[in-house]
Amino acid sequence: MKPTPYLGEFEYAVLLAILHVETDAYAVPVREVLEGRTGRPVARGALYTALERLETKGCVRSRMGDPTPERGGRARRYFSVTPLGMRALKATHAALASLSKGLEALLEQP
Amino acid sequence: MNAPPPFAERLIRAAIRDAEWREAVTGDLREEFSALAARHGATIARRWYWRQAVALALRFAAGRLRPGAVRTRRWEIVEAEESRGWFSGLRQDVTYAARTLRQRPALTGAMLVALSLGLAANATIFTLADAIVLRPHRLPGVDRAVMVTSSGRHELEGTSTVAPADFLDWQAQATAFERLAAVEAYGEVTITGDGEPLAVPVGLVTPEFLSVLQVSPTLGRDFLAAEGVPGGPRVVILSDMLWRVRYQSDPGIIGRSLLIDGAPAVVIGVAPPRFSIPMGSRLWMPFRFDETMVRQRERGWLMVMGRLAEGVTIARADAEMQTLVEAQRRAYPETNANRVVSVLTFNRGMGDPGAANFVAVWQAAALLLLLLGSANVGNLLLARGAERQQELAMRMALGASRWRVLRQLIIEGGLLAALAALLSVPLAMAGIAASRTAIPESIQRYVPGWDHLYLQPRPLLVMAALAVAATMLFALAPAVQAIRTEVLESLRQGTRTATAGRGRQWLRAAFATTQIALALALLTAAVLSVGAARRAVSDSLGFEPARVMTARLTLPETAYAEPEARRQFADRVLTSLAGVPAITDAAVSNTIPYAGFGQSRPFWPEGVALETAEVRQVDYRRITPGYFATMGLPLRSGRLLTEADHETSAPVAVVSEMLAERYWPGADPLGQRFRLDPDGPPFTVVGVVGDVMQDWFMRQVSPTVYRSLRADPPTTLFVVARTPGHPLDLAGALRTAINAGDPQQPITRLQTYDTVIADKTAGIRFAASTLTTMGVMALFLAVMGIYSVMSYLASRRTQEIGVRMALGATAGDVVRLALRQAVPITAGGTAIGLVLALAVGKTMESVMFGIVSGSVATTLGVALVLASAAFVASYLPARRAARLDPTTALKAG
Repeated sequence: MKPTPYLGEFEYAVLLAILHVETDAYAVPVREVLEGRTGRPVARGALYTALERLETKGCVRSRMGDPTPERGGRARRYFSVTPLGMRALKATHAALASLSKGLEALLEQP
Repeated sequence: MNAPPPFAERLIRAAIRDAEWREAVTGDLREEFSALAARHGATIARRWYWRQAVALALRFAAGRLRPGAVRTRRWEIVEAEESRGWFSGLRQDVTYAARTLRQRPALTGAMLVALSLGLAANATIFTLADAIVLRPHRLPGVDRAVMVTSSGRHELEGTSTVAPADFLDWQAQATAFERLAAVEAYGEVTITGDGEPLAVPVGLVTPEFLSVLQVSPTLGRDFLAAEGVPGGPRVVILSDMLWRVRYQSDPGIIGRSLLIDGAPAVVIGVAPPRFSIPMGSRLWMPFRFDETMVRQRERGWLMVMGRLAEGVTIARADAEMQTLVEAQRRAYPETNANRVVSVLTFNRGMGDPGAANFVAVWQAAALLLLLLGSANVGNLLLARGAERQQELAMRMALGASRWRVLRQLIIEGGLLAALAALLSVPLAMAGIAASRTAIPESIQRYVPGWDHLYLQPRPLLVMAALAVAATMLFALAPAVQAIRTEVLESLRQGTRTATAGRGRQWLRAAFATTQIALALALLTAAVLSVGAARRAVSDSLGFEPARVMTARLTLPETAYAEPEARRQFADRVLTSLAGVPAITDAAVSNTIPYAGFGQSRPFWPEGVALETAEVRQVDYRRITPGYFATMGLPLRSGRLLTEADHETSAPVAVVSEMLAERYWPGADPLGQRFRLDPDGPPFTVVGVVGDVMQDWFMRQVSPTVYRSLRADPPTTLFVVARTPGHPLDLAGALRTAINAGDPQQPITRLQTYDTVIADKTAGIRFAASTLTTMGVMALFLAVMGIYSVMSYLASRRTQEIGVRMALGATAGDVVRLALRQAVPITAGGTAIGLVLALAVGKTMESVMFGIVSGSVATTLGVALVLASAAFVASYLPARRAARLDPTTALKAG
């Protein structure tokens, strides 16, 4: 079994966003979710780079869809989180959760 | 319908190496682009796309260079140095060139500014020329489509007016064409019954029209032959825009009946997006030849377009048409004796005959500017070449081949060209954006190429080629000079430099002289066109447009077929306007000066025998009595038209001063009689009014006949009203008045008179501002050029100056010494420039319809400005040299 890779903050966010979009997650809706939920602008280039890196690490898998006319006859590249990605996500989440344990009073203040 | 800028897309595609990523990323962008375009419009979307493209391209390109990508190891470079191929050490040379350019940021910056300004000007002008003049109509079948234009010999070139009977002859006899179509443009129809009444430009076309242009409706079908005959079914094809905006893209529109000019017409098709030939038509209806038209050869108003038959060239089609027209001249000498015909490519035939000349002048100016910029670069490179002589000599002494050194210099030039080309892209985009905003929105639809007026790959490629050519030309001269020098001598000379070698000095002076000469020519062109533009709007127009509001409308022909109905409409409008206190005068007329829609009639003065061929046309103006007061036209003699002159009273007319002068020179025009139709009634002249500039473009005051509108009411009407206040405040009153005339009547255009004139003169003002921009750039470049030469010369002579000052020369002597070099350059440049400028003035005069008038005084004035600027530019470095402390100066070098 591959070792669970370490996730950067942005990669962590991207993986979560893919899960939010569920099926047919491609760059456009993923970015919308990222911007919508975090309230921060996300550069397209950064997203593409992160997706490429996540794929190299084995955390996401991609497949090409069918070409559509509104995209000028180009296909979408759909992403899904691999089991390895899920493990990495859980590990990062657990790490962050354990770090924040006991600080709820501080963190959840408005 | 809306595609992202192709060049930007290409940029991303080039930057992304992985095919799948490339597809996904461009697809994503395209998707978001469409959404953005739908929400915020194409301009914003395109700008957004460009930003994304640049950002993404940079990121992907950078990603390639990251660790893990290809990386050159040290030993590879060493190996490359050792092999002796053409491309050996190229990378090293490029790195070295980049470093030398970086070492002198001011110098490099100056060269980049000079080059990229010239390049951007060229790209902008090329884009304009390509979009507006060369290929304004980009239809699939445009290359086999032609225009057959015909006009009377005395008429202005380019006013194509084919008479219907002539067209029918051609259609029946010409074999060079697969098909011919006739078109009547400039008309307007009113759509009622499904919302606000709307006046739209209509193209009345024969059924062959769409197939001549190989355009097929995106929805529904083309016209049928049966729909082109009198009494055929009333059908209409809508433009894409009309269909989208007024009918919400309803696909069920086909087969629906619309009320057009009050009568039902069935929609049979929707034209493809952006198709709006002729003249921004929004819908097309069949043109029908009624019985009188079939024999009509006197008056022509049709545009004729054709599709060349298989294998037929334009020349052959033209030859056939000449024979046909020659036969017509013999068969119908009365009407056709003066007819001339020509077959032109579609883009040329449809184009404004003046636009091509304008653009030619621009293009010449832009090329001059590039030449100027290149001369600057050449000069600066020469200066650098001298500085680097030692370095080059050293390299050659150490065994570098001449070729290697030459290549080094060429690479530097190429790098410079590449950087300048890159820099000029945003500059050119700004220039094009500025051009886009310079033409008022109201006349954009008459500029057919408007839609594709943005930076495209083609002009960019041309620009890149120009950049390389220009820098190579000017980089090579110093490079050749640099390697020609003897090694030893250079090394020796370098230790204590005095003045540079004779050859180089001569070359540099030649560059600077050229710059001044070119700048003078360009500036003169700019000043001339500004003068023309100013005169076009503010010359004594003969009337007073300020404080006048105008409305234009076209009465539907079916509902207003009876003259009485049109008379009553005008009466109702004027009655309503009379009740508005803010309006001092108001009138209705068939047209107003500067608005187009002029009509002319042949003029037969009584008592003068004229052959048909000798008869000239005069402007035929139909007005209500308030017209002269509203327009501010002065009465010269006799009386104005009054309410007593109407349809049943004796036919009288007021004529313009020029007409009276032409036909009755020296005699009293009052009481003279004339006819506008050999068989019509004679008119008696009752008054003479001042001349009016009808149209700046013709630069001529036409002889004009004013007649009561009541006697011959037209269907296209202008309502004008004068106020002591702001004319725009009358908009509501005019609307109410026209509504009182007929609640179903839409207004085609509601503008202040000043706006009408501004629209009409937008072209010349645009041309003038473009040329001015280039002229100012030229001045800037020329001054920069002479400044750099003079300061360089001064710096090279620092030691000499030190010696002179140590030996007792005063600061004044030093300045004089330096200026002595500047005088011949400035004087020579100015002299050559003056000759060039006068030639430019003459060319512009002849090319631009005489609206430009060159004057020697103007040219001399420009020369004076330029010479002074050049002098200041050479004085500054001289003064700086004179202020040097002699000891410092001696040590320098």
